[in-house]
Amino acid sequence: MILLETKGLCKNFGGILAVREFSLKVKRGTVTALIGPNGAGKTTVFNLITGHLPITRGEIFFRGERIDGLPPHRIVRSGIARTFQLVRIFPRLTVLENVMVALRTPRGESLWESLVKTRRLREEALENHKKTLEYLVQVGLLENKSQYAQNLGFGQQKLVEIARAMATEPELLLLDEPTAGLSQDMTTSIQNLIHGLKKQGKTILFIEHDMRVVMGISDWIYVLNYGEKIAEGPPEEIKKNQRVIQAYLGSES
Amino acid sequence: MANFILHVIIMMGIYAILSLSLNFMLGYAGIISICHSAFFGIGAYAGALISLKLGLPFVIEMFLACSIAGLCGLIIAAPTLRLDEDYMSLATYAFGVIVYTVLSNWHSLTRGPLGLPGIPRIEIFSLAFDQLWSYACLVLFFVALTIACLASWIRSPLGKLLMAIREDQVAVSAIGKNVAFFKILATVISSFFAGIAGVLLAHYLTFIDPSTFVIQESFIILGMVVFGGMGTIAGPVAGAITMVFIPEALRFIGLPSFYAAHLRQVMFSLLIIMILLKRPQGLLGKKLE
Amino acid sequence: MYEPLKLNQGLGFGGGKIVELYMFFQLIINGLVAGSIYALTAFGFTIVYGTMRFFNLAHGSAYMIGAYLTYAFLTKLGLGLPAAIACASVSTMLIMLAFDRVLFQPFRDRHAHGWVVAICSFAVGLLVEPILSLIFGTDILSIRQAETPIRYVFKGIMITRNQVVVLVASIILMILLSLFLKRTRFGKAMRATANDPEMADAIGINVNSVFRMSMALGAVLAGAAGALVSLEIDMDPMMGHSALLKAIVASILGGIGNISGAMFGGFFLGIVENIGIWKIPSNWKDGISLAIMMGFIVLKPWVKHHR
Repeated sequence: MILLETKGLCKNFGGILAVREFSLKVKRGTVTALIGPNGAGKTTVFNLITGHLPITRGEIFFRGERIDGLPPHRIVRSGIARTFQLVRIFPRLTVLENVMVALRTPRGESLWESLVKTRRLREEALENHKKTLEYLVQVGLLENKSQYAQNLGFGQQKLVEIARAMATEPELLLLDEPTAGLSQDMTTSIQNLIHGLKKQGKTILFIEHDMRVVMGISDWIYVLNYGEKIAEGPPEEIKKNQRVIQAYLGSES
Repeated sequence: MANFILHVIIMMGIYAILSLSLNFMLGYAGIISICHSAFFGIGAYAGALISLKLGLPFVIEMFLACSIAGLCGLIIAAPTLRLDEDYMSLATYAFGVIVYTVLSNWHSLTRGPLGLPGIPRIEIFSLAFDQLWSYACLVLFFVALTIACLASWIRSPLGKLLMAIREDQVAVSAIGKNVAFFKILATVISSFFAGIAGVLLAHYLTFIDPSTFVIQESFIILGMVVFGGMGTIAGPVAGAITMVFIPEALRFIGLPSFYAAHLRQVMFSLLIIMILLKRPQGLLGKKLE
Repeated sequence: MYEPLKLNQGLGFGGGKIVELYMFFQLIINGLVAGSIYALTAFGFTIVYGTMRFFNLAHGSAYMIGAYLTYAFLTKLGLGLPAAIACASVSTMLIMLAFDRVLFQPFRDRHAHGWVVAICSFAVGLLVEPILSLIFGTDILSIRQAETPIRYVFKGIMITRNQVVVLVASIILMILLSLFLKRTRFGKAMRATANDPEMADAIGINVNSVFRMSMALGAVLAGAAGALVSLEIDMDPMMGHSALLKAIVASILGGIGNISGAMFGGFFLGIVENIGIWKIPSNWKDGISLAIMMGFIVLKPWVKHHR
């Protein structure tokens, strides 16, 4: 079943066409990779999907319903979560708080209930505390829970961001270069994490530069160059695709 | 002597409420605002006018005046949500001066520079608060109420969310929370409580005029928050206590009023400069290690 | 004996269509004179913001110091008017540079948040006001003469010698500085830094001296503006605040960081204010210019979004 679909997505930045006629389909329960040389427009596509950038033309469907034009927080609520290329965690909050703040807290955010601390609010807080700890265990950050996020290493901050994204209980996770700048060990951890998420039934769309990771875990790959889709297919086909190789070789020279 | 101490306590209390409320939106939610003098003034004038013209019971008057102040918070917050830091500070600065201009020039409502005299003393359930000591108790009650409410909100998930907004708004929108709504909420709460301070001042002085609510007053309140330590509960209170104490102490030791006013400004600016240079997190602020 | 027209004062009578037309032109002239001061002040403010991203809220104090020093040099040291103005401007620059060295530079070194330095500059402004009051007293001071020769009269529209001096001097200063920024190497370095400070540093520009020069230029322009304006209006310890407000509004109207825009904004503001007080009582003036600025700030992103 198609979870996410874009049709003819275009983004114009005052004359520069960053994304042209980009169409993709992501099937539920799969891991899809979005690759391409630097500046190909991959993060722009993410920003368009999550509503952080307005689209110039095209349509975006999530679970069959149009989501383009909606504000980011509504899109996230409908089941899409994302991480950022340059980590955007909350530096002066602890790791625990970073993740807990992403949970649904209808009682905690109510003015009256948070003022008088009703019993239901305290129950919700306990419940959320438990859930947060579970997420921290999943990413392996349980022992860091009371540290301020700004004091963590880069790789650990990435894990915090992933845990935070998971905490919104999404169906679709958009991961922007999850292994960039990480050591081999951490990269393997993230790879395993993504695999684990897939087993849980989540759908993943991720941007990556590390080809081993891409080839290792993707079910389907989209290749972008200068904002245009130049190829799509399973890893074995993309590996041999001449246009793809040219695009990467070209960008390296 | 006792009267003097009570007077100082009352002023410290009023400014503590102002600093606490500004800290709520600035130190916790990260919303830049230099128009707190506007909310202070609107609360004061609304309270004064309601009690002068309508004579409603105090509790209702307080609630109405604060709601009007809160409404003004909404008015400035809504259109300026998406502005970046620099423009936001300018917009709030402009708002502060505009409110002052309106208060000074809308003669038919506010009597302009002549001010509003004869504001009645407070009476709750026929208990008159016309003694200094009883008024001080009233002010302290509201300080405690302010601290209780704001601390309660800060320690709840709502408070954590506001702090997250302070850290990174884009990331907060990416976890499904409506940033605009919460920023407006923080501003309205902040301005509502600033209104409390205004009403208390109006009934204490029994006379208000626009000169108390010039835009410089916003910077003084901001200075108290910065000096005492943003992002803590005790910080703004400490800042208010210090900043009120100094000029009053000068007055007490008999410095002629002319010099006292100028010296207050000089000391105030020196304090701000020194704290920013030497201990930027404020007196009671914490440095995150 | 003519009473020279004070800046921002309109003629209070109505009359026939032709008289109205002449009054309109008179107000334009008054507006240009006032506007030239606003433009000069805004120019200085924008140089500092443009290169350093620093809202120098002590800019109004520089203006005020320029005015008061001119008074001091003129009356206490007996200098001639041009010398007094020049010395006042240079002294203002030195004072501002001292503040910068001691107070603002440490924040730059620490890469502090923008608004932290802004608060510090505001504190400096708060510091200067009472110091000037203590030195000069809080009474209104004046060096403008009650009688100045009328330079030019055309069917009832007049401009005084002082007004001409203000207008011409301001314009000359602004032209000189624009040439400096456009033609000289240092001026180009300043523009490069304004564009992208990191890149400028990378290509070898001494960013710190660019910053110092910006502060110096900003201060000398503000001081000169204050010195010139004292020919037309009286001085009081609150004048700095009003000047700062005008500089900010003019800069915003011209697009913040844009120097020619700031100049345009200054002239525009001067003219709009003078025409405005024809019909609207003058004490609403500050509020009006601010409301315009606020409208501008608030509507700009909305307009950009819906282009």
